[in-house]
Amino acid sequence: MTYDFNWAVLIEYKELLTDGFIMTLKLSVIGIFLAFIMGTLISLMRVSKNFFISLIGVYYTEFFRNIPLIVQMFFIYFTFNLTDIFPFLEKFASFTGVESSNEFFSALLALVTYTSTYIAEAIRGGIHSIPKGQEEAAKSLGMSYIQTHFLIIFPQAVKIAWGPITSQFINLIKNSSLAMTIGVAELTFQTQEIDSLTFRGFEAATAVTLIYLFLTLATSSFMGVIERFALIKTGGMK
Amino acid sequence: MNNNKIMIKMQNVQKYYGDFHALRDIDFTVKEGEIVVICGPSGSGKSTLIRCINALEDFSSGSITVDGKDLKDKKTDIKKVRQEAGMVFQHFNLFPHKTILENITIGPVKVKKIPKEKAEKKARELLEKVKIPHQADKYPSQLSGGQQQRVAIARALAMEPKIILFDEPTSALDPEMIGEVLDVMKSLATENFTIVCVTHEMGFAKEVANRIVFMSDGMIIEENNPHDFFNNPKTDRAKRFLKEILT
Amino acid sequence: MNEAIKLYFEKNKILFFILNLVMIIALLKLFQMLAYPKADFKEALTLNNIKFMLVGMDGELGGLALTFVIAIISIIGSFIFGSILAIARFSKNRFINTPAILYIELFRALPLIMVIFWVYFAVPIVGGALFHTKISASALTSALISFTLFESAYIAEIVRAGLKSIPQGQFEAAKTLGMSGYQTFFLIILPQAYRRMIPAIVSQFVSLFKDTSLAYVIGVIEFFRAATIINNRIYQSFEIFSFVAIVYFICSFSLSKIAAMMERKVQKQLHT
Repeated sequence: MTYDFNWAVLIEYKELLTDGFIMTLKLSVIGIFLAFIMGTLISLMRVSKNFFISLIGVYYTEFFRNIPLIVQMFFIYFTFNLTDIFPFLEKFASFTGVESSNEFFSALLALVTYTSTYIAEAIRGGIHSIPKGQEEAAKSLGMSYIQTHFLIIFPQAVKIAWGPITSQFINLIKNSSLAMTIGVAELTFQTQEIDSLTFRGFEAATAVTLIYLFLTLATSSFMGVIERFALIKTGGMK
Repeated sequence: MNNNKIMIKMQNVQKYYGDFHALRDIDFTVKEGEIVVICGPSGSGKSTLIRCINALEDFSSGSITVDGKDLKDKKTDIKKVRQEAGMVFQHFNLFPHKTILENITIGPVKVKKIPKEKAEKKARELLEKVKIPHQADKYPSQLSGGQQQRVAIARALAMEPKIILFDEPTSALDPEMIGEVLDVMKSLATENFTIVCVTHEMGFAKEVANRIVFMSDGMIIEENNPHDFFNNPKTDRAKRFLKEILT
Repeated sequence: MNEAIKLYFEKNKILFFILNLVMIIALLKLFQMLAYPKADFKEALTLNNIKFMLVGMDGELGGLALTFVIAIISIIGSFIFGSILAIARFSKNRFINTPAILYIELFRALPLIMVIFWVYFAVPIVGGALFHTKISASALTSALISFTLFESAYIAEIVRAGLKSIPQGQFEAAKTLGMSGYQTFFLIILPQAYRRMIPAIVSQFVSLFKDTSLAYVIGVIEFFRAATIINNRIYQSFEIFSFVAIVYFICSFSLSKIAAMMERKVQKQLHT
C-alpha cells in the first residue's frame, strides 16, 4: 500500500498557507522588535552598578527563562483578557489587521518576555567584552551615564553580540509556532487545518517546512548583510 | 607659571582596594600652568592617583579639589569637572565605531552642545596641530598606534580643558612612534595648560617638567624640580629607582 | 555603597539566598494581589489535583514524573543518535557526511511542533511503505520519537564542538604511539571530548525538560497537559498555571544551576 501524494491540495488551499505565513510574520516581526527593546532594557539593568536594579534584572531573566514558553502563553491567555485590560490593543489590532486579538497579544507578550531574556544575555555578554577603557574615555569627556551607554557602549555591544542576537531572532520565529496552541492561525496551525480538511497532512507539512526554512535562511542572510555593512563602514573589512 | 591659583589639591587622601592600601597620606597640589611628572615603580599608585583627579577612581578618605570644586561635595557635577580635566590613556581608548573626526567632535557636540559645524572646524584644526590632517574620515583601526594616540590627544583638547592628565601615554607604543607623541606633548607644555603626566619617559620629564613627583607603595616619597631630582635624589628609594631606570 | 552590599552578600551566601526567597515571594504576592485578587489556591490545588499533576492517575505514569521519564529517555536516545550524526559529519565520505549535515540543518531550522506533526504524519506512511500495514504509534511513542529526532540535531552540534576542541597534539601523540585511526578516536579523543561536553549536554537537557511541555499537542498526559485537563474542568487558570509555572521554574532553575556547577568543574579540570 503506497501513499497517494496529492500536491494539488496545496494550490487549492494556498490561501490558508498565505494567511498562516502572514500571521507568523506579524508575530515574528513585532515580536523581534519588542523583544530587542526589552532585552536591551534588561541587559542595562543587569549591568547596572546599583545592586537592587541588577537584582531585579536577574529575577526577570531567570523567571522568564525557566518557565516554558507554552506555559507562559497559556497563563496569560487563560488568566487575563488582554484587550479588556489594555484598550489600545484593539486599535493596534485593527491597524495590523489582526482578528482574535486576545490570542495574538497573549502569544506575542509571552514570546517577547521569553525571548527578551536570551537577547538580554547576548547583549550583556557583548557589554562585558568591551574594554573598560571605552567607558572611562567616554566619562573623561564628561559624558553622562546615558550618553556613555547609548553612544559608546551599546552600539559596540550589539555589534559583538550580533551572532547570538540573530540566533534568538530565528528562535523567536520558530517559537511563534507555539501560538497555535492558543488558537492563533499562524503557519503550524494551518498545517493542522489543511490536514483536517483534506487528510493531506504530509503535503501540508512539507509546504510549511519549506516556508520555515525560507524564513530562517532569509533572516540569517539579512542579519549577515547588516553585519557586513557595519563592518565595511567601520573599516574592519576593505 | 605666573599666578598662584591652585588647580588640583589633594589633602590626606587614602584609598583602599578591600584591604590593600593603594594610596597613603597623599598631599598633592598643582598650580595653574604647572607641568608635573609623576614617576615610580609599577604598582606605586601613580595611575590610581591621577585617576582620582577626574573621579574615574573613588577614594576612601581625605579631600580632592579640582578647579575649585570639591569632588566629594554632593552638589558638585562630576561631569563638569571632567570637562575641565581631559585625559589621555595608555591604550588610547578611541571609539572604534566612530571616525577620527567623530571621535574628536563627539565630546564637544554631545556634552558641550557645540554646533556640529563649529566642532568639526575645530577638530580639523586640532588634527593639523597633532600633524595628522588627512585622516579625518578614517576609523581608528586603520591608524597606527602613534597616530591613534595623537588623535586621543586631539580628542581631549577639543573639550578645551584647563587640565590635561596623561596616564602613561607612550607605554603601549612601539619605540619608533614614541617620539611623535612626545613632540605633541612638548608643544602643549608651551601653552597654558596645567599638565599632570604619569610616564617613564625621563627625557621628556627633564625637558619639560616643572616638578617631578616620585611615588612608591602608594606614597609620595620625594618631590623636586627635575634638575635636583635627577642629579641629587634625597631618598634611598628614589636613588634606587633612578639607578634602575637610567641603565 | 553598592560595592559594599555586593561584597557582603558574596560572603554571606545563605543570607543572600534567604533575601532572594523573601523578595521573590513578596513580588509574586504583590503580582497576585494586583492581577488576580480573587485567587483561591486552596480550592484549585486540592491534594487530588496536585497528585494528578505530579504523578498522574493511579495505575499509569503521568504528570511531572512522566515529564522526567520522557526527558531522560529522549536525552539518552538523542545522545546516541546525535553522536552518530556528529561522527558521520566528520567522515570524509560525501555519502556519509552530506545526509548528516542535511539532517542537522533541517531539524535545527524547524520548530519542535512541526517535527511532532511530521512524526505524526510520517509514521503511517513509513509503516505502510516498510511493513505494508497500517500502523500508528501510541502518543507516548510518537512523543519520544519526536523529541529524540529533534534533540539529536542539537546534540550533534555539541558533540562536534566537543570533538573540535581537542587540541591537534592529542591526535599526533596517539599517532606516534602507533594507534590506528579508530583506536585514536575511541580511546583518546572521544573520552576527552565527552568530559568537555557534559555541561552543554546538561544545558540541552534543561532545554528538553522545558520542551516536554509540547507533548501537550500529542495528548501525552505529562505535567503540562495534566494541568490543562484540570484547568478545563475547574477553570481556575490563575491558580493552576501559577502552580505549573512555579514548579517548572524550580526544576529548570535547579537543573541549570547544576549545569553551571559542572561547567565550573570542567573549567577547573581543563586548567590544571
